[in-house]
Amino acid sequence: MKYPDEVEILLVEDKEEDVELTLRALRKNNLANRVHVVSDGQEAIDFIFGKGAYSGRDINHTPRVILLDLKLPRVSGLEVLQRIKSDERTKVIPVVMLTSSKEEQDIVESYRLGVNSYIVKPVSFNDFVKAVTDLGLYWMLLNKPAF
Amino acid sequence: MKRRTKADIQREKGEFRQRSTELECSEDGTSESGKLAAEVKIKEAQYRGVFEASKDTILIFDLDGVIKEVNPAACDMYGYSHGEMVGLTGRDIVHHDYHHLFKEFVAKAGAGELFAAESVDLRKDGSQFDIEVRGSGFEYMGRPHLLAIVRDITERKQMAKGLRRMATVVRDSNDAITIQDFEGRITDWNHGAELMYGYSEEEAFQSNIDRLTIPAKVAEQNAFIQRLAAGEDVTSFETQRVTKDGRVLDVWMTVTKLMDDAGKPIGLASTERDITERKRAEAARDAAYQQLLKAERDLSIRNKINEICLTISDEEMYGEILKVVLEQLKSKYGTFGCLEEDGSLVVPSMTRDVWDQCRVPQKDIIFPRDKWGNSIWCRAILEKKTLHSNEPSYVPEGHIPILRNISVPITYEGKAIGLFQVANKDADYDENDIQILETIAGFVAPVLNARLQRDRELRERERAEEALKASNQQLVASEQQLRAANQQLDAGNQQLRATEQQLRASNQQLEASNQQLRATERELRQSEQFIRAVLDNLPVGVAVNSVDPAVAFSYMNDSFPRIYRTTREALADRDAFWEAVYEDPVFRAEIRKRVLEDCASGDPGSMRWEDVPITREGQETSFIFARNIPVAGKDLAISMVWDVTERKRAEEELRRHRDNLEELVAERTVELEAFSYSVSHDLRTPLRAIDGFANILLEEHNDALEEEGKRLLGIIMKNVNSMGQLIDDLLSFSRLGRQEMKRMEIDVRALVREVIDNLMQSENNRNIEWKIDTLPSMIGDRSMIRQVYANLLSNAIKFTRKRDAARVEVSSREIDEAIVYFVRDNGAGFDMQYAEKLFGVFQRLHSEKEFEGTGVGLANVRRIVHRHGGRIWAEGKVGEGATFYFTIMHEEGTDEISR
Repeated sequence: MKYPDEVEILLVEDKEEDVELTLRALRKNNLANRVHVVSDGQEAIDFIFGKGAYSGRDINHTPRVILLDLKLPRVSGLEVLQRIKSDERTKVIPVVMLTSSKEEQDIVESYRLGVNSYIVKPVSFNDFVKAVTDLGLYWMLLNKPAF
Repeated sequence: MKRRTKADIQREKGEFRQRSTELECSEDGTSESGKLAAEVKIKEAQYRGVFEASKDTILIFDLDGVIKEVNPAACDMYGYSHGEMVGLTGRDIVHHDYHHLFKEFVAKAGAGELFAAESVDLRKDGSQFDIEVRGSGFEYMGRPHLLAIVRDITERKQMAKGLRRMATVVRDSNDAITIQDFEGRITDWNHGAELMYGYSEEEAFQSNIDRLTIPAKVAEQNAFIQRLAAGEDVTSFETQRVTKDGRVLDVWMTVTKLMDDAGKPIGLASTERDITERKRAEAARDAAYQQLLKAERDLSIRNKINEICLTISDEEMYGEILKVVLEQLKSKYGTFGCLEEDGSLVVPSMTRDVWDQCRVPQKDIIFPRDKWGNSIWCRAILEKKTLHSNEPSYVPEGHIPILRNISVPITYEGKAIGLFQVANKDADYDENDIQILETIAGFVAPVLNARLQRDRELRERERAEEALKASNQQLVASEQQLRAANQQLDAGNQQLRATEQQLRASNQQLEASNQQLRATERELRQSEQFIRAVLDNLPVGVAVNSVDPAVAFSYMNDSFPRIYRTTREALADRDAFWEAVYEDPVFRAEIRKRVLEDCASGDPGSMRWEDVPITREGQETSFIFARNIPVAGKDLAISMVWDVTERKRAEEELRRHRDNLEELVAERTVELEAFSYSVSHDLRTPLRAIDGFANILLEEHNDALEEEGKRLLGIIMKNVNSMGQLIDDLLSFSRLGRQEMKRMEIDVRALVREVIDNLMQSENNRNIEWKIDTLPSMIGDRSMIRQVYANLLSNAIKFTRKRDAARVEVSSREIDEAIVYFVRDNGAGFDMQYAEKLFGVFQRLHSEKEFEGTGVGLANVRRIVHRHGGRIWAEGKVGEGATFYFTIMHEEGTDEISR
């Protein structure tokens, strides 16, 4: 596996179509170069904490932003968020929650767990592109690597 | 007989001429002609035979009018012998008036013509008679002659005359004569009928006889027509008919059936005579006769009564007159009484032995005014009116039954002075009976009045005499007083005796009060019995108890032990109550302690024990509610107990249902939440994919797509977007039901401004005149109320889009102490018919093309208003705008979950 040490964006998304759309959205803004995609919560945790398939990955190379889908197989988005935000090593990574839902409880819970941003994926692709671009850029720029 | 035609006669004439010629030839003496002559002779003899034997009168004249030959019938007819007649001329046998006719005949005969006529001829004795003559010229003895056949038509003539006369009679008859067929069609109608019924012949002709028939007689008419048609004879009868102007006539009708030549009945002729007048006269005669009879009867009664009054003493008068009355009215029972000065009815004349038959307790002959009831005779007197009844009357027990009666008051100068009553005739009383009795009362009145007057005068004299007597007595009394003074001296002695009497009196008084006491006691006992009966029938157990902790009942009603599920006997023992009622020793001790403590507290408010279970082994538990009510000032308490098992059961049931329902609702809510959650995520994902890839297709494969392909992709994307909107709205609607309300004071005015600013940001080209008026603050969930205004105002903006001068008013108004907020616009409006539909989910009144929207907004608004305990309604008119009103309750609203 080509090591994604220099991964800038970690996209956690289980639906292929959404992955493709998100990548296109990022690509439109030249942000798609160093995107790593994982398709469920467990894999995300493994990647972030260098476990399982990703054991050996240097976890100090944190992604500059994590785009995290709320509904994921195996381990849910909220659980992943909790794990990231409750670990000293990872809690500084900006996490943008991507979700189809406007459900208040999800939003409230996400913020409670320390999410940095929250994108309700619009049905309209153009809107979606706009939202991803805005937020992705914002966090990428804000969270410039220290080096 | 076959009529000879002109041709026949010509032919015969020819034959005759030929024969004559033959005859003449034969006279010439040829053998041939001799033979012929013989034949002719034979023929002639044959003709002569016929001529002689003919019953018709045949005369032969020559053209000079002289009779040349006649047959015996002619001799008979004219009364001449053959010899006398031959040689006479037509003038001798034809009436002078007809000589010209005879001449004409002769002329016609000469010309060979036929003739026929009626004429008058003369007999030998000069008498004339009517004849009919026919004839013709013919050759006789070689020369033209006249042959006449004469018939006596006297009879026929007379008949015809008779007929003519009859026709005149019929036509001019005053009786109506109608001819009708069996269907009732009038085929003939004489003058009399016209006069009698008023219809002209034209009107009557072919119309139906029903026109003349009164409804009551239709059956009768049909019956006689049927009988006639069946061949029966109907002759005469009386009936009634109706005229054109509606008068009903009594008619004497004579009916004859008419037959055709074959003897078959074809109709009827009827002669109708108006006998109305006759009937009226008869009726008048009958009435006069009746009056005569009545006068006679009245006279005889008057005589009888006069005789009685003149000859019989006062005492017997009543009885004797009553006898006459009963006899006249064939009644078994009667009274004749007079009214006294004081108004009492005195009946000295009750029918003998009536009182003997009656078993009424008081057989007085005086009926005091204040004892009168409402019986028929009382009313007759009071109303001064004859009353009668053919129904049995009410009578006191023992009185002989009154089956039917007449009561006639006897009045004099407008005042009732007496009474006649008769009863129990074998048949019903009729007007005649009433009349007789009234007549008698009329006769009797002056006599009775005179007698009563005399009696009154007598009594007055007696009273005067008595008064005189009284003043005499007073004189005597004064004298006695003197004597009394003397007697007082003896009084001392008598006082002793008086004391003794006083003692006796007080003894009696004591006795009396004893009796009173006993009466009071009796009354008390009765009212107690009544109260007991009431109490025993109450569904409430009632007992009287000492306040002593030991339970001893001095009274209990039937329900009391029943509700406690024990018996009266079991509770008879002092303190047996607890044992008898509560089976379980532990519960018994517990409840006993509680009850006794509550009672000891002395507070009546705590002496109530609700839903106490009463158990019996093997049976269902019942529940009671018991109370003790201390009786003020006595060591008593009234215990009351109600069986509340049913109520408790119902409550239990209700509670169970409620629990179930709540559970169900909670379950549903959870389900619904899960559902919406899943919808919100999973439904949008594929939509996003559709839109996304459509976009990509459009962007990255633009060159490969034709215009039509691009248009179709555009449609797909547009629909995906509406679907997305729909899902969002649906979710918001479902979320509203679950979302918790955070109540706070809302500055409505500020909120409205904020919403408008927000909405107007994306409406750059719109020029709307906003009118924001009174908007008092309210208590509610700010985000929800914001949504209400966001919806109402965005609707207002949306629906005024097509207005040049859009106006939106946001205000409130106080109606019946409630604040009604409203939003009014001058937009597209709506038909009030659909006012209710406005608020349904997905209900839209406009097409998507006209005004976009999912039809969820107003449903959300209503849901929010309802959650705030308020009400929302709308008014509008197509093309003129709409107004939405809502109210908010400041207290907790109905926090409805569904809807």
